[in-house]
Amino acid sequence: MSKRRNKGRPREHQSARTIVPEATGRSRAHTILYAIAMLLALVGLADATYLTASHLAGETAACIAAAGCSDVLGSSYAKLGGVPLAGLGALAYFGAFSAATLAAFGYARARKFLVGIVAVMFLTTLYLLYVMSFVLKAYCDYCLLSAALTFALAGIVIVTPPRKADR
Amino acid sequence: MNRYLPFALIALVAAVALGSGTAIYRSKDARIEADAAAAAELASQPTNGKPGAKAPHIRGAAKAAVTIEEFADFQCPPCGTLSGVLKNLEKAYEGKVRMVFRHYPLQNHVHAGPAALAAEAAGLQGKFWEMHDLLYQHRAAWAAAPSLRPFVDSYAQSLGLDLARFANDLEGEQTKARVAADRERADSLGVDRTPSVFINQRPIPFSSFDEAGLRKEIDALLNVQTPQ
Repeated sequence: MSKRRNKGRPREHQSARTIVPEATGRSRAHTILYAIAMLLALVGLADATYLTASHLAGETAACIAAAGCSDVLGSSYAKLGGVPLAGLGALAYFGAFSAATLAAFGYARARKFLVGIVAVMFLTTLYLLYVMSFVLKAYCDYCLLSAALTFALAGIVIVTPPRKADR
Repeated sequence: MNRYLPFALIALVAAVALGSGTAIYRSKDARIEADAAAAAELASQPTNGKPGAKAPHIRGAAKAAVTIEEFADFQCPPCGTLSGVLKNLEKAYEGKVRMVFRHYPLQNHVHAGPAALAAEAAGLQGKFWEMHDLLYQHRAAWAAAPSLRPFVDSYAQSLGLDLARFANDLEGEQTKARVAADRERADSLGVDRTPSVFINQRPIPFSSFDEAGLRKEIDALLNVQTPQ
């Protein structure tokens, strides 16, 4: 049994997927990696949604005695043209989730979209980490969690090679 | 069925995110309102809180109908934002509003306490508001620096203060006592964050801390229609 699983894997997959059109070229490894990306994006979406709701409720309009996120989220860097960055983050995570879901189900173009959106998120995260470390010198747990999630997403995208159909 | 599953999942996640986001927003909004109501009850008690520093820092008309009392921390970014808003309002409502500044330096801001003392030390030489403005203006620079002292020294110099006296007052009892008195007043009013704003003794919810929100509050007291 184990022998078969190890050695005959590619063949087994091909035969098991006969009902799926060849062009979608789904494999279990891809599905698992995209499922992890979906989960990461979901956690990110929850994080960003929470921050957006707090921002809109006016909570970040004040500094609270117990060290919180207000130094970061109340700063001018937390908004882009009046729109809370957390809201844009929520949209980005939702986009990443949608793309990962479609990719997991074998939609070829979804991967390109996922790579694009994660690349933008990665660069934005680098910039925001720079702002927190060197400009504000204040950190926010929720923002650091988001940074970790984006790095993990980027890692997943990098280790998931394009399938034949994606090229 | 497989064909629709990914789209169903995406739609489900969108709905859950929107729904929970709205629920979080509502619960937070309700809590903020409840906090404001609790503070209002405290403020409506006959004592109106402890008096705070004598001869508080006042800007604007002495006999204005509207008094905006602000509790702030120079290192808190939203306080800096609010100070700009208050300045605009002071101009827009010249002769009708009076601004009172009170200190509420938070412990988690290492330079907030010394900054409050620096403003008070400048105040002893009649330059409180000038130091207040400079501190907010350059907040980003000094907040990130290891020490506040070189910054306030340079501000004191640019304001033409007696530097020896300023240095002495920074450590003096008089400045400390003023900051402590404001803190007592804040505690008696139930203030626990900055900025906190009271208009004619009534606490204002944080969601109203922008120009439009504060204009509405002021206009209601002045009995005028807020222009749309």
